Amino acid sequence: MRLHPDPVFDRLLGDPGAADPAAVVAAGARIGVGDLAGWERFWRGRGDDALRRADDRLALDDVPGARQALLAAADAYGLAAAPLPADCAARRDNRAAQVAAFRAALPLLPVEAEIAGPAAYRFGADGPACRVVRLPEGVPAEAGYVRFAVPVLAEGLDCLVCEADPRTVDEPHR
Amino acid sequence: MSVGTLHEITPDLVLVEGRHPHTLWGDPDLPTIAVYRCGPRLYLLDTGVGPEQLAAIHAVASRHTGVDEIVLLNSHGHVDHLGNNHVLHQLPAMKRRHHIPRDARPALDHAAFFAAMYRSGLGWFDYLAGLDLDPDRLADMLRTLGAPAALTADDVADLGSRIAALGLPPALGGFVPSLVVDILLRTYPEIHPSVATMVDYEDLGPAAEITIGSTRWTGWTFADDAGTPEVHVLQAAGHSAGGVVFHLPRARFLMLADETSALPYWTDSDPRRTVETAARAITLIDDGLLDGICAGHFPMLPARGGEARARLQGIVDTAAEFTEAVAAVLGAHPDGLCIDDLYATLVTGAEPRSVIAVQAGLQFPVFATFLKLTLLNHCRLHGFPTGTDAAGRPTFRLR
Repeated sequence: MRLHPDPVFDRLLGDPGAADPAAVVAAGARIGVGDLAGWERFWRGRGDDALRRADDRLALDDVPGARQALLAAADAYGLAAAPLPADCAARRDNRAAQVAAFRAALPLLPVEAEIAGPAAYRFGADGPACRVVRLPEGVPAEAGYVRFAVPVLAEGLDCLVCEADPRTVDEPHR
Repeated sequence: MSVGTLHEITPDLVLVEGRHPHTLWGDPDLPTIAVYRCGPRLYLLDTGVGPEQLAAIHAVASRHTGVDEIVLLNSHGHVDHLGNNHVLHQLPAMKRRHHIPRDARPALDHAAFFAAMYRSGLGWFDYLAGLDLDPDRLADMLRTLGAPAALTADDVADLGSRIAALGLPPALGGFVPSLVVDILLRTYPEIHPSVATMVDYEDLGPAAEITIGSTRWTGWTFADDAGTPEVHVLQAAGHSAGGVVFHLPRARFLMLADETSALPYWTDSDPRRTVETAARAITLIDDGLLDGICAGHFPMLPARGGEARARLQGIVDTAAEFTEAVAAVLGAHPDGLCIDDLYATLVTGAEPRSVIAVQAGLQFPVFATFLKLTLLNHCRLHGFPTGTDAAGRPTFRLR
Protein backbone atom coordinates (compact mmCIF):
# COMPACT_ATOMS: atom_id res chain seq x y z
CA MET A 1 0.00 0.00 0.00
CA ARG A 2 1.38 3.40 -0.92
CA LEU A 3 1.55 5.76 2.01
CA HIS A 4 2.86 8.71 0.02
CA PRO A 5 3.29 9.44 -3.70
CA ASP A 6 6.85 10.62 -3.07
CA PRO A 7 9.02 7.47 -3.17
CA VAL A 8 11.44 8.74 -0.52
CA PHE A 9 8.65 9.72 1.89
CA ASP A 10 6.80 6.50 1.11
CA ARG A 11 9.82 4.41 2.10
CA LEU A 12 10.31 6.37 5.33
CA LEU A 13 6.65 6.11 6.31
CA GLY A 14 6.72 2.37 5.71
CA ASP A 15 9.40 1.74 8.31
CA PRO A 16 7.78 0.43 11.47
CA GLY A 17 8.48 2.55 14.51
CA ALA A 18 6.75 4.20 17.38
CA ALA A 19 5.16 6.95 15.28
CA ASP A 20 1.42 7.21 15.63
CA PRO A 21 -0.17 5.45 12.63
CA ALA A 22 -2.63 8.28 12.35
CA ALA A 23 0.29 10.69 11.97
CA VAL A 24 1.65 8.53 9.17
CA VAL A 25 -1.61 8.85 7.29
CA ALA A 26 -1.81 12.55 8.06
CA ALA A 27 1.67 13.00 6.59
CA GLY A 28 0.54 11.25 3.44
CA ALA A 29 -2.42 13.56 3.14
CA ARG A 30 -0.71 16.85 3.91
CA ILE A 31 2.81 16.87 2.54
CA GLY A 32 3.45 17.34 -1.15
CA VAL A 33 5.91 15.41 -3.27
CA GLY A 34 9.44 16.66 -2.67
CA ASP A 35 8.35 19.12 0.04
CA LEU A 36 11.31 18.54 2.35
CA ALA A 37 10.62 21.65 4.40
CA GLY A 38 6.99 20.63 4.91
CA TRP A 39 8.08 17.13 5.87
CA GLU A 40 10.60 18.44 8.40
CA ARG A 41 8.07 20.87 9.91
CA PHE A 42 5.38 18.18 10.15
CA TRP A 43 7.51 15.58 11.91
CA ARG A 44 9.37 18.06 14.13
CA GLY A 45 5.95 19.33 15.25
CA ARG A 46 4.84 15.78 15.97
CA GLY A 47 8.04 15.24 17.99
CA ASP A 48 7.49 18.42 19.99
CA ASP A 49 3.88 17.38 20.67
CA ALA A 50 5.03 13.96 21.86
CA LEU A 51 7.63 15.51 24.20
CA ARG A 52 4.95 17.68 25.78
CA ARG A 53 2.77 14.59 26.17
CA ALA A 54 5.66 12.79 27.83
CA ASP A 55 6.12 15.62 30.32
CA ASP A 56 2.41 15.51 31.15
CA ARG A 57 2.52 11.76 31.72
CA LEU A 58 5.69 11.94 33.80
CA ALA A 59 4.09 14.58 36.01
CA LEU A 60 1.40 12.01 36.80
CA ASP A 61 3.87 9.13 37.26
CA ASP A 62 2.36 7.41 34.22
CA VAL A 63 5.46 5.51 33.18
CA PRO A 64 4.01 3.53 30.23
CA GLY A 65 2.39 6.66 28.87
CA ALA A 66 5.61 8.65 29.16
CA ARG A 67 7.62 5.83 27.58
CA GLN A 68 5.29 5.61 24.59
CA ALA A 69 5.38 9.36 24.13
CA LEU A 70 9.19 9.56 24.31
CA LEU A 71 9.58 6.73 21.80
CA ALA A 72 7.06 8.45 19.53
CA ALA A 73 9.04 11.69 19.88
CA ALA A 74 12.32 9.95 19.01
CA ASP A 75 10.71 8.32 16.01
CA ALA A 76 9.17 11.59 14.82
CA TYR A 77 12.45 13.51 15.10
CA GLY A 78 14.19 10.67 13.26
CA LEU A 79 11.65 10.89 10.45
CA ALA A 80 12.12 14.67 10.35
CA ALA A 81 15.86 14.25 9.89
CA ALA A 82 15.97 11.26 7.58
CA PRO A 83 15.48 12.80 4.11
CA LEU A 84 17.53 15.96 4.80
CA PRO A 85 21.06 16.46 3.44
CA ALA A 86 23.86 15.42 5.80
CA ASP A 87 25.22 18.96 6.10
CA CYS A 88 21.86 20.49 6.93
CA ALA A 89 21.53 22.14 10.35
CA ALA A 90 17.92 21.00 10.66
CA ARG A 91 19.04 17.42 10.18
CA ARG A 92 21.61 17.75 12.98
CA ASP A 93 19.06 19.38 15.28
CA ASN A 94 16.45 16.71 14.67
CA ARG A 95 18.95 13.90 15.11
CA ALA A 96 20.07 15.46 18.39
CA ALA A 97 16.45 15.64 19.50
CA GLN A 98 15.94 12.02 18.47
CA VAL A 99 18.92 10.90 20.54
CA ALA A 100 17.83 12.96 23.55
CA ALA A 101 14.25 11.66 23.45
CA PHE A 102 15.32 8.06 23.05
CA ARG A 103 17.86 8.26 25.86
CA ALA A 104 15.21 9.83 28.09
CA ALA A 105 13.05 6.79 27.38
CA LEU A 106 15.77 4.27 28.30
CA PRO A 107 15.08 4.19 32.06
CA LEU A 108 11.36 3.81 31.33
CA LEU A 109 11.64 0.79 29.04
CA PRO A 110 10.19 -2.49 30.34
CA VAL A 111 13.66 -4.08 30.02
CA GLU A 112 17.04 -3.00 31.25
CA ALA A 113 18.77 -0.78 28.73
CA GLU A 114 22.11 0.91 28.52
CA ILE A 115 24.23 2.94 26.14
CA ALA A 116 26.79 0.47 24.84
CA GLY A 117 28.92 2.78 22.76
CA PRO A 118 28.74 5.89 20.60
CA ALA A 119 26.15 4.28 18.33
CA ALA A 120 24.94 1.18 20.14
CA TYR A 121 22.47 0.16 22.83
CA ARG A 122 22.15 -3.03 24.84
CA PHE A 123 18.72 -4.26 25.94
CA GLY A 124 18.03 -7.06 28.41
CA ALA A 125 18.96 -8.21 31.90
CA ASP A 126 22.48 -9.38 31.01
CA GLY A 127 21.18 -12.88 30.35
CA PRO A 128 23.15 -15.85 29.06
CA ALA A 129 22.54 -15.11 25.40
CA CYS A 130 22.67 -11.87 23.49
CA ARG A 131 21.94 -11.36 19.83
CA VAL A 132 23.95 -8.65 18.09
CA VAL A 133 21.92 -6.76 15.49
CA ARG A 134 23.95 -4.73 13.06
CA LEU A 135 21.50 -2.17 11.72
CA PRO A 136 21.05 -1.54 8.02
CA GLU A 137 23.18 1.26 6.66
CA GLY A 138 21.78 4.68 7.51
CA VAL A 139 19.52 3.45 10.31
CA PRO A 140 20.44 5.21 13.57
CA ALA A 141 20.81 3.11 16.70
CA GLU A 142 17.88 4.94 18.31
CA ALA A 143 15.59 3.48 15.66
CA GLY A 144 16.74 -0.06 16.40
CA TYR A 145 14.73 -0.72 19.56
CA VAL A 146 11.22 -1.03 18.16
CA ARG A 147 12.21 -2.55 14.84
CA PHE A 148 14.86 -5.02 15.94
CA ALA A 149 15.37 -5.32 19.69
CA VAL A 150 11.74 -5.90 20.67
CA PRO A 151 11.37 -9.05 18.51
CA VAL A 152 14.69 -10.39 19.84
CA LEU A 153 13.70 -9.70 23.44
CA ALA A 154 10.43 -11.54 22.81
CA GLU A 155 12.52 -14.63 22.09
CA GLY A 156 14.05 -14.38 25.55
CA LEU A 157 17.39 -13.11 24.35
CA ASP A 158 19.25 -9.92 25.19
CA CYS A 159 19.92 -7.67 22.24
CA LEU A 160 22.75 -5.37 21.25
CA VAL A 161 21.89 -3.02 18.40
CA CYS A 162 24.66 -1.09 16.71
CA GLU A 163 24.85 1.06 13.64
CA ALA A 164 26.25 -0.41 10.45
CA ASP A 165 28.98 2.17 10.19
CA PRO A 166 28.99 4.75 12.96
CA ARG A 167 31.38 6.95 11.04
CA THR A 168 28.77 7.54 8.35
CA VAL A 169 26.07 8.58 10.80
CA ASP A 170 25.69 12.00 12.39
CA GLU A 171 26.93 12.09 15.97
CA PRO A 172 25.12 15.02 17.55
CA HIS A 173 25.83 15.66 21.20
CA ARG A 174 27.56 12.33 21.70
CA MET B 1 -1.27 24.42 7.15
CA SER B 2 -4.35 24.29 9.35
CA VAL B 3 -8.12 24.25 9.28
CA GLY B 4 -9.48 27.02 7.10
CA THR B 5 -6.21 27.64 5.29
CA LEU B 6 -6.98 28.86 1.78
CA HIS B 7 -5.40 27.29 -1.30
CA GLU B 8 -5.91 29.44 -4.39
CA ILE B 9 -6.03 27.16 -7.42
CA THR B 10 -7.08 30.00 -9.71
CA PRO B 11 -8.32 33.48 -8.76
CA ASP B 12 -11.85 32.03 -9.00
CA LEU B 13 -11.28 28.67 -7.33
CA VAL B 14 -10.21 28.53 -3.70
CA LEU B 15 -9.98 25.40 -1.56
CA VAL B 16 -10.62 25.63 2.18
CA GLU B 17 -8.42 23.14 3.97
CA GLY B 18 -9.84 20.62 6.40
CA ARG B 19 -8.07 18.60 9.03
CA HIS B 20 -7.03 15.03 9.33
CA PRO B 21 -7.64 13.89 12.89
CA HIS B 22 -4.91 12.40 15.05
CA THR B 23 -7.32 10.14 16.87
CA LEU B 24 -10.98 9.23 16.92
CA TRP B 25 -11.58 11.24 20.07
CA GLY B 26 -8.94 13.95 19.82
CA ASP B 27 -10.36 16.18 17.11
CA PRO B 28 -13.02 16.08 14.41
CA ASP B 29 -12.37 14.88 10.89
CA LEU B 30 -12.88 17.91 8.65
CA PRO B 31 -12.90 17.75 4.86
CA THR B 32 -11.35 20.14 2.41
CA ILE B 33 -14.10 22.06 0.58
CA ALA B 34 -14.18 24.52 -2.33
CA VAL B 35 -15.53 27.94 -3.24
CA TYR B 36 -15.79 28.64 -6.98
CA ARG B 37 -16.79 31.88 -8.68
CA CYS B 38 -18.24 31.62 -12.15
CA GLY B 39 -19.89 34.66 -13.71
CA PRO B 40 -22.56 36.01 -11.37
CA ARG B 41 -22.65 32.78 -9.36
CA LEU B 42 -20.68 31.67 -6.34
CA TYR B 43 -20.59 27.90 -6.01
CA LEU B 44 -20.00 26.32 -2.61
CA LEU B 45 -18.84 22.73 -3.04
CA ASP B 46 -19.69 21.38 0.43
CA THR B 47 -19.36 23.58 3.49
CA GLY B 48 -17.36 21.55 6.03
CA VAL B 49 -17.88 21.84 9.75
CA GLY B 50 -17.06 24.32 12.47
CA PRO B 51 -16.26 27.99 12.84
CA GLU B 52 -12.86 27.96 11.10
CA GLN B 53 -14.22 26.65 7.84
CA LEU B 54 -17.30 28.87 8.09
CA ALA B 55 -15.09 31.92 8.55
CA ALA B 56 -12.95 30.84 5.62
CA ILE B 57 -15.99 30.59 3.34
CA HIS B 58 -16.99 34.12 4.36
CA ALA B 59 -13.43 35.35 3.74
CA VAL B 60 -13.40 33.95 0.22
CA ALA B 61 -16.91 35.17 -0.54
CA SER B 62 -15.99 38.69 0.57
CA ARG B 63 -13.37 38.85 -2.19
CA HIS B 64 -16.09 38.77 -4.81
CA THR B 65 -18.41 41.56 -5.81
CA GLY B 66 -21.35 41.29 -8.17
CA VAL B 67 -22.47 37.87 -6.97
CA ASP B 68 -26.15 37.45 -7.77
CA GLU B 69 -26.60 33.82 -6.84
CA ILE B 70 -25.20 31.38 -4.30
CA VAL B 71 -25.29 27.75 -5.46
CA LEU B 72 -24.57 25.28 -2.66
CA LEU B 73 -23.80 21.80 -3.96
CA ASN B 74 -23.43 19.00 -1.41
CA SER B 75 -21.44 15.96 -2.50
CA HIS B 76 -23.15 13.49 -0.17
CA GLY B 77 -25.00 13.35 3.11
CA HIS B 78 -22.25 12.90 5.70
CA VAL B 79 -22.22 15.54 8.42
CA ASP B 80 -18.63 16.60 7.98
CA HIS B 81 -19.48 17.98 4.52
CA LEU B 82 -22.68 19.86 5.26
CA GLY B 83 -22.24 21.21 8.77
CA ASN B 84 -21.94 24.83 7.64
CA ASN B 85 -24.76 24.75 5.12
CA HIS B 86 -26.38 27.65 6.97
CA VAL B 87 -23.80 29.86 5.29
CA LEU B 88 -26.24 29.81 2.38
CA HIS B 89 -28.44 32.21 4.36
CA GLN B 90 -25.56 34.36 5.55
CA LEU B 91 -23.97 35.35 2.26
CA PRO B 92 -25.48 38.31 0.39
CA ALA B 93 -27.13 37.34 -2.90
CA MET B 94 -30.38 37.79 -4.80
CA LYS B 95 -30.89 34.07 -5.38
CA ARG B 96 -29.91 30.95 -3.54
CA ARG B 97 -29.98 27.32 -4.62
CA HIS B 98 -29.04 24.20 -2.70
CA HIS B 99 -28.79 20.65 -4.02
CA ILE B 100 -27.96 17.21 -2.64
CA PRO B 101 -28.15 13.69 -4.10
CA ARG B 102 -31.49 12.04 -3.36
CA ASP B 103 -29.87 8.78 -2.25
CA ALA B 104 -27.85 10.74 0.33
CA ARG B 105 -30.91 11.89 2.26
CA PRO B 106 -31.05 8.94 4.69
CA ALA B 107 -27.70 10.10 6.07
CA LEU B 108 -29.22 13.42 7.13
CA ASP B 109 -30.61 11.69 10.22
CA HIS B 110 -26.96 11.23 11.03
CA ALA B 111 -27.15 9.82 14.55
CA ALA B 112 -29.54 7.03 13.59
CA PHE B 113 -27.85 6.51 10.23
CA PHE B 114 -24.35 6.01 11.57
CA ALA B 115 -25.56 4.02 14.54
CA ALA B 116 -27.22 1.57 12.17
CA MET B 117 -24.05 1.40 10.05
CA TYR B 118 -21.78 0.72 13.00
CA ARG B 119 -24.12 -1.82 14.53
CA SER B 120 -24.55 -3.76 11.30
CA GLY B 121 -21.81 -6.17 12.34
CA LEU B 122 -23.73 -7.38 15.38
CA GLY B 123 -24.39 -11.07 14.97
CA TRP B 124 -21.59 -11.33 12.41
CA PHE B 125 -18.46 -10.82 14.47
CA ASP B 126 -17.01 -9.92 17.85
CA TYR B 127 -16.16 -6.20 17.84
CA LEU B 128 -13.55 -6.45 20.60
CA ALA B 129 -11.66 -9.60 19.63
CA GLY B 130 -8.44 -8.82 17.79
CA LEU B 131 -8.37 -5.08 18.46
CA ASP B 132 -5.12 -3.52 19.66
CA LEU B 133 -6.53 -1.85 22.76
CA ASP B 134 -3.37 -0.06 23.77
CA PRO B 135 -3.83 0.99 27.43
CA ASP B 136 -2.04 4.30 26.88
CA ARG B 137 -4.29 5.18 23.97
CA LEU B 138 -7.41 4.14 25.86
CA ALA B 139 -6.34 6.09 28.92
CA ASP B 140 -5.83 9.14 26.72
CA MET B 141 -9.30 8.67 25.25
CA LEU B 142 -10.95 8.25 28.63
CA ARG B 143 -9.22 11.33 30.02
CA THR B 144 -10.45 13.33 27.03
CA LEU B 145 -13.97 12.06 27.65
CA GLY B 146 -13.95 13.16 31.28
CA ALA B 147 -12.01 10.57 33.26
CA PRO B 148 -9.69 11.98 35.96
CA ALA B 149 -6.42 13.40 34.66
CA ALA B 150 -4.63 11.05 37.05
CA LEU B 151 -5.93 7.98 35.18
CA THR B 152 -2.91 6.08 33.87
CA ALA B 153 -2.28 3.45 31.26
CA ASP B 154 -1.50 1.04 34.09
CA ASP B 155 -4.94 1.72 35.57
CA VAL B 156 -6.53 0.91 32.25
CA ALA B 157 -4.38 -2.19 31.80
CA ASP B 158 -5.41 -3.40 35.25
CA LEU B 159 -9.05 -2.79 34.42
CA GLY B 160 -8.67 -4.63 31.12
CA SER B 161 -7.08 -7.60 32.84
CA ARG B 162 -9.93 -7.73 35.34
CA ILE B 163 -12.56 -7.53 32.59
CA ALA B 164 -10.82 -10.32 30.66
CA ALA B 165 -10.46 -12.50 33.76
CA LEU B 166 -14.18 -12.22 34.43
CA GLY B 167 -14.95 -13.20 30.84
CA LEU B 168 -16.81 -9.96 30.16
CA PRO B 169 -15.59 -9.03 26.63
CA PRO B 170 -18.37 -10.96 24.80
CA ALA B 171 -20.94 -9.15 26.91
CA LEU B 172 -19.36 -5.75 26.29
CA GLY B 173 -18.36 -6.10 22.63
CA GLY B 174 -21.86 -5.46 21.33
CA PHE B 175 -21.84 -1.98 22.84
CA VAL B 176 -18.59 -0.90 21.18
CA PRO B 177 -20.23 0.35 17.96
CA SER B 178 -22.66 2.52 19.93
CA LEU B 179 -19.74 3.86 21.94
CA VAL B 180 -17.91 4.86 18.76
CA VAL B 181 -20.97 6.66 17.37
CA ASP B 182 -21.43 8.54 20.63
CA ILE B 183 -17.77 9.59 20.67
CA LEU B 184 -17.99 10.73 17.06
CA LEU B 185 -21.07 12.82 17.68
CA ARG B 186 -19.58 14.29 20.83
CA THR B 187 -16.38 15.42 19.12
CA TYR B 188 -18.13 17.24 16.32
CA PRO B 189 -18.95 20.93 16.37
CA GLU B 190 -22.57 21.97 15.94
CA ILE B 191 -24.08 20.91 12.60
CA HIS B 192 -26.23 23.20 10.43
CA PRO B 193 -27.32 21.12 7.43
CA SER B 194 -30.10 23.49 6.24
CA VAL B 195 -32.34 20.60 5.27
CA ALA B 196 -35.22 22.95 4.43
CA THR B 197 -33.34 24.44 1.45
CA MET B 198 -32.19 21.13 -0.02
CA VAL B 199 -33.46 20.17 -3.46
CA ASP B 200 -32.49 16.82 -4.93
CA TYR B 201 -30.27 16.92 -8.00
CA GLU B 202 -32.76 14.43 -9.39
CA ASP B 203 -35.46 17.10 -9.21
CA LEU B 204 -33.53 19.03 -11.86
CA GLY B 205 -34.24 16.12 -14.20
CA PRO B 206 -32.88 12.65 -14.68
CA ALA B 207 -29.10 12.30 -14.63
CA ALA B 208 -27.84 12.94 -18.16
CA GLU B 209 -24.92 11.36 -19.93
CA ILE B 210 -21.97 13.74 -19.83
CA THR B 211 -18.97 13.20 -22.07
CA ILE B 212 -15.67 14.80 -21.05
CA GLY B 213 -12.88 14.01 -23.47
CA SER B 214 -12.90 10.25 -23.88
CA THR B 215 -14.66 9.65 -20.56
CA ARG B 216 -18.39 9.17 -20.09
CA TRP B 217 -20.22 10.03 -16.91
CA THR B 218 -23.77 10.63 -15.76
CA GLY B 219 -24.92 13.65 -13.79
CA TRP B 220 -26.09 17.23 -14.04
CA THR B 221 -24.57 20.32 -15.65
CA PHE B 222 -24.75 23.78 -14.12
CA ALA B 223 -24.20 26.17 -17.02
CA ASP B 224 -24.13 29.90 -17.72
CA ASP B 225 -26.85 31.68 -19.69
CA ALA B 226 -25.15 30.69 -22.94
CA GLY B 227 -25.22 27.02 -21.97
CA THR B 228 -21.48 26.77 -21.34
CA PRO B 229 -20.83 24.35 -18.46
CA GLU B 230 -19.63 25.88 -15.20
CA VAL B 231 -19.86 22.81 -12.95
CA HIS B 232 -20.44 19.19 -13.85
CA VAL B 233 -21.97 17.25 -10.95
CA LEU B 234 -20.95 13.69 -11.75
CA GLN B 235 -22.42 10.59 -10.15
CA ALA B 236 -19.87 8.41 -8.41
CA ALA B 237 -21.52 6.62 -5.43
CA GLY B 238 -18.39 4.73 -4.45
CA HIS B 239 -17.85 6.19 -0.99
CA SER B 240 -21.53 6.41 -0.07
CA ALA B 241 -24.98 6.25 -1.58
CA GLY B 242 -25.61 9.02 -4.09
CA GLY B 243 -22.11 10.51 -3.77
CA VAL B 244 -21.01 12.92 -6.51
CA VAL B 245 -17.80 14.61 -7.65
CA PHE B 246 -17.48 18.10 -9.07
CA HIS B 247 -15.75 18.78 -12.38
CA LEU B 248 -14.92 22.42 -13.04
CA PRO B 249 -14.10 22.54 -16.76
CA ARG B 250 -12.89 26.15 -16.87
CA ALA B 251 -10.50 25.55 -13.98
CA ARG B 252 -9.59 22.09 -15.35
CA PHE B 253 -10.08 20.77 -11.82
CA LEU B 254 -11.85 17.80 -10.24
CA MET B 255 -13.11 18.03 -6.67
CA LEU B 256 -13.52 14.43 -5.56
CA ALA B 257 -15.09 15.08 -2.16
CA ASP B 258 -15.08 11.67 -0.43
CA GLU B 259 -15.17 9.62 -3.61
CA THR B 260 -11.68 8.30 -2.94
CA SER B 261 -12.56 5.44 -0.60
CA ALA B 262 -10.80 2.36 -1.90
CA LEU B 263 -12.36 0.16 0.79
CA PRO B 264 -16.02 -0.33 1.77
CA TYR B 265 -15.96 1.43 5.13
CA TRP B 266 -19.72 1.99 5.03
CA THR B 267 -22.58 -0.36 4.31
CA ASP B 268 -23.52 1.76 1.28
CA SER B 269 -19.95 2.00 -0.09
CA ASP B 270 -19.04 0.43 -3.43
CA PRO B 271 -15.29 0.80 -4.06
CA ARG B 272 -15.71 -0.66 -7.53
CA ARG B 273 -17.37 2.63 -8.42
CA THR B 274 -14.61 4.59 -6.67
CA VAL B 275 -12.12 2.79 -8.87
CA GLU B 276 -14.17 3.66 -11.97
CA THR B 277 -14.13 7.32 -10.94
CA ALA B 278 -10.38 7.27 -10.32
CA ALA B 279 -9.76 5.54 -13.65
CA ARG B 280 -11.83 8.16 -15.49
CA ALA B 281 -9.92 10.94 -13.75
CA ILE B 282 -6.61 9.36 -14.76
CA THR B 283 -7.85 9.29 -18.34
CA LEU B 284 -8.72 12.98 -18.12
CA ILE B 285 -5.19 13.75 -16.90
CA ASP B 286 -3.66 11.63 -19.64
CA ASP B 287 -5.91 13.34 -22.19
CA GLY B 288 -4.63 16.71 -21.00
CA LEU B 289 -8.07 17.82 -19.83
CA LEU B 290 -7.43 17.89 -16.10
CA ASP B 291 -4.72 19.86 -14.31
CA GLY B 292 -5.53 19.20 -10.69
CA ILE B 293 -7.55 17.24 -8.17
CA CYS B 294 -8.42 17.50 -4.53
CA ALA B 295 -10.58 15.43 -2.20
CA GLY B 296 -12.22 15.86 1.12
CA HIS B 297 -9.70 13.69 2.92
CA PHE B 298 -7.29 11.90 0.54
CA PRO B 299 -5.67 13.87 -0.95
CA MET B 300 -6.70 16.61 1.41
CA LEU B 301 -4.41 19.12 -0.28
CA PRO B 302 -4.60 19.87 -3.99
CA ALA B 303 -2.45 17.70 -6.24
CA ARG B 304 -1.43 18.33 -9.80
CA GLY B 305 0.09 16.45 -12.70
CA GLY B 306 2.08 13.38 -11.80
CA GLU B 307 1.28 13.61 -8.12
CA ALA B 308 -2.45 13.73 -8.87
CA ARG B 309 -2.11 10.77 -11.17
CA ALA B 310 -0.16 8.83 -8.53
CA ARG B 311 -2.82 9.55 -5.92
CA LEU B 312 -5.54 8.28 -8.23
CA GLN B 313 -3.54 5.21 -9.18
CA GLY B 314 -3.02 4.58 -5.48
CA ILE B 315 -6.80 4.33 -5.04
CA VAL B 316 -6.99 1.76 -7.83
CA ASP B 317 -4.05 -0.22 -6.46
CA THR B 318 -5.27 -0.20 -2.87
CA ALA B 319 -8.72 -1.44 -3.86
CA ALA B 320 -7.16 -4.24 -5.89
CA GLU B 321 -4.76 -5.21 -3.09
CA PHE B 322 -7.60 -5.43 -0.58
CA THR B 323 -9.82 -7.45 -2.90
CA GLU B 324 -6.99 -9.85 -3.72
CA ALA B 325 -6.02 -10.30 -0.07
CA VAL B 326 -9.57 -11.25 0.92
CA ALA B 327 -9.98 -13.53 -2.10
CA ALA B 328 -6.72 -15.33 -1.30
CA VAL B 329 -7.84 -16.20 2.23
CA LEU B 330 -11.41 -17.12 1.33
CA GLY B 331 -10.12 -19.14 -1.63
CA ALA B 332 -8.00 -21.19 0.74
CA HIS B 333 -11.11 -22.00 2.82
CA PRO B 334 -13.69 -23.35 0.37
CA ASP B 335 -16.04 -24.28 3.21
CA GLY B 336 -16.18 -20.66 4.24
CA LEU B 337 -14.82 -18.49 7.04
CA CYS B 338 -16.54 -16.37 9.64
CA ILE B 339 -15.56 -12.69 9.75
CA ASP B 340 -13.60 -13.17 13.00
CA ASP B 341 -11.47 -15.90 11.41
CA LEU B 342 -11.12 -14.06 8.11
CA TYR B 343 -9.87 -11.02 10.02
CA ALA B 344 -7.48 -13.04 12.17
CA THR B 345 -6.02 -14.85 9.17
CA LEU B 346 -5.56 -11.64 7.19
CA VAL B 347 -4.01 -9.67 10.05
CA THR B 348 -1.71 -12.47 11.15
CA GLY B 349 -0.30 -12.89 7.65
CA ALA B 350 -0.19 -9.22 6.68
CA GLU B 351 3.06 -7.64 5.54
CA PRO B 352 3.90 -4.46 7.51
CA ARG B 353 3.03 -2.05 4.70
CA SER B 354 0.09 -3.96 3.30
CA VAL B 355 -3.36 -2.46 3.14
CA ILE B 356 -4.52 -4.98 5.75
CA ALA B 357 -1.76 -4.02 8.20
CA VAL B 358 -2.37 -0.32 7.73
CA GLN B 359 -6.13 -0.65 8.11
CA ALA B 360 -5.76 -2.87 11.17
CA GLY B 361 -3.41 -0.33 12.76
CA LEU B 362 -5.70 2.62 12.12
CA GLN B 363 -8.99 1.12 13.28
CA PHE B 364 -10.67 1.74 16.63
CA PRO B 365 -9.44 3.05 19.01
CA VAL B 366 -7.26 5.12 16.64
CA PHE B 367 -9.97 6.04 14.13
CA ALA B 368 -13.65 5.29 13.84
CA THR B 369 -13.34 2.24 11.61
CA PHE B 370 -13.43 -1.49 12.21
CA LEU B 371 -11.59 -3.69 9.75
CA LYS B 372 -14.05 -6.49 10.49
CA LEU B 373 -16.93 -4.23 9.48
CA THR B 374 -15.09 -3.33 6.28
CA LEU B 375 -14.58 -7.04 5.57
CA LEU B 376 -18.26 -7.74 6.21
CA ASN B 377 -19.28 -4.92 3.86
CA HIS B 378 -16.90 -6.30 1.23
CA CYS B 379 -18.29 -9.83 1.46
CA ARG B 380 -21.88 -8.60 1.28
CA LEU B 381 -21.12 -6.20 -1.56
CA HIS B 382 -19.65 -9.00 -3.64
CA GLY B 383 -22.51 -11.34 -2.79
CA PHE B 384 -20.29 -14.08 -1.41
CA PRO B 385 -22.43 -17.09 -0.46
CA THR B 386 -23.03 -17.50 3.24
CA GLY B 387 -23.04 -20.52 5.50
CA THR B 388 -22.49 -21.46 9.12
CA ASP B 389 -19.43 -22.90 10.79
CA ALA B 390 -19.27 -25.57 13.49
CA ALA B 391 -19.59 -22.92 16.17
CA GLY B 392 -22.75 -21.57 14.58
CA ARG B 393 -21.10 -18.39 13.30
CA PRO B 394 -22.12 -17.05 9.88
CA THR B 395 -19.48 -17.61 7.21
CA PHE B 396 -18.63 -16.42 3.70
CA ARG B 397 -17.02 -18.35 0.88
CA LEU B 398 -15.88 -17.19 -2.53
CA ARG B 399 -18.34 -19.20 -4.64
